Amino acid sequence: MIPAVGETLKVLRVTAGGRRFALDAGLVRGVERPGRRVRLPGAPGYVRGVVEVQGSVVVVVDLARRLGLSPHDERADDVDDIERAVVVVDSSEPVGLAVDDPGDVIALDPATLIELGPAGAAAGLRGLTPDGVVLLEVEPVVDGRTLAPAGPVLDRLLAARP
Amino acid sequence: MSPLTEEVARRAAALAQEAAHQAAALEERLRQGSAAVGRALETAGRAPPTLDAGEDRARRLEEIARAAGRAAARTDLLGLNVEVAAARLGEEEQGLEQVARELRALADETARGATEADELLAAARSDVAAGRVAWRAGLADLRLAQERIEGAAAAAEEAGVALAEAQQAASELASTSAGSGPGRDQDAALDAAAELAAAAEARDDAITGLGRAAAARLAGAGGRLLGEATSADGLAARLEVVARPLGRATVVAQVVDDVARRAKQLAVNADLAAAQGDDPALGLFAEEARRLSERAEGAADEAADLGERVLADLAELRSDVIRHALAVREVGEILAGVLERFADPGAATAADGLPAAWRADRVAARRLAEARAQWRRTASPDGGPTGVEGGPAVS
Repeated sequence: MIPAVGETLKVLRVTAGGRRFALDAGLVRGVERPGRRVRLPGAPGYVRGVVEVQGSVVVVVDLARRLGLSPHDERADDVDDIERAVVVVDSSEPVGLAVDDPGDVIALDPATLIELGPAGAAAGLRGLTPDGVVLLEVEPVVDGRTLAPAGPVLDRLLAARP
Repeated sequence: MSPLTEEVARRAAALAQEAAHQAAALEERLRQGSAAVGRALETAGRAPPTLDAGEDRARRLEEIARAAGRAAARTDLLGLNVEVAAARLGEEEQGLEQVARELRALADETARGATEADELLAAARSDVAAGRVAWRAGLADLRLAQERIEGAAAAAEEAGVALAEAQQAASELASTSAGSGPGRDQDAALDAAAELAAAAEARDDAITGLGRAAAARLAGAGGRLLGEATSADGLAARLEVVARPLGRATVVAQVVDDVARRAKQLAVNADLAAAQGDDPALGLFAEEARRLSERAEGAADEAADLGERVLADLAELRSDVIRHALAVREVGEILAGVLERFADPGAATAADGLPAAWRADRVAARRLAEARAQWRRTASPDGGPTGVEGGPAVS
């Protein structure tokens, strides 16, 4: 949802892979800690499995791995850490994003966002807030397309900030 | 009887009488000590079941505190979801945002309280468990001390009987006019008199040795008892320290109860917002808030009840422990009094010297019995009674 000029954008702040991200709250269905997870053999490394949320089966994507911020660790997969929060976002179908900490909801002034351009878009990133929170483009993150690793993009951008 | 023999006889009689008085006094004090230990054991016997019950209740309170912590995490997530719902519904949903803020504040308060209660209760349970172990060890020490005291009292009673026999032997010697009887062999009479006096003195020495050996044995028991009294004092002080944080933990239960009531109100507000808005998720959130508040209310009631019972148990236990410490100290002081009179700090008497002292006393008793028999034979050459058997004691 793109807010009109003068309107604020309500976003959910989360932490993943040691960095802070924001998601458009209008696309967030809810935040859960499912407790039980069914693994999907053969799925990409960033897919942690499926969980049940409010009666629906939801695929869970590890946000840090999806953005290339954390390596795929087979041993970590064996640990059932589904106590981590899952942010369920609305896409063509609901997808859960596993994060380290779900954080809170804040209002962003879009005028203060630093657009990240094509390099950012290739990594699923839309903009950077003045306090260093990265606004994500949800659709590219959940639709399975190949993404450029976000780490180097963010490091270059943060290094270039005054 | 020669003046020397008379003198020896009088001295033996006086020694025996003095020793008999000492033995009687020792026996009396030891019997008092044994009775005091019995009272202390009775008091101490009440503590372990109370400690067991207190530990069980503290464990249950810990479970409740942890459940409250999990509920706090769930409430926090619920608050976040309400925030997200409010953001989706737009600027006009100020009421819903307020609901979300309150939920998250409640969750934070509950989590802090639950963490504090959990830590306090874990420490209290550990203290109570340590106290129970020390208490049981103390009971075992008390029982051992009681056995030792009973043994020493029995020894003192037998020593008293033996001393009465020695005193009678000496009085026989002193009251018989050895030199005046017809047909009495003077030399034999003198020898028998001297041997009787020597045997009485030897018996007195043996009895003194018996007393010292008993005292050395008791010294260990007395030290353990005073240690037990000090340990009981420490337990009473620790119970007082444990009770204070438990009092705060029950205050946490009241906080949880308050949270439950406020969550119930928030559930109503969320219901209203769901009725006015389009988002069906709000109805689900309201339902969950209501369930959380009911669970919290039940847990708070149980925690408050348990908390009160634990505090009451601890107060009763502390009184018992203080009484126990006083009782044990009383026994320790009685024993200290006994040791003061009978222990010989200059002599290296082993704590296990009692069997040897008994053997020495038996030897001295046989010698005294033989000396009396010999004395009677010299007093009546035909072996008949001299009329002095069971004569009055010489004071």
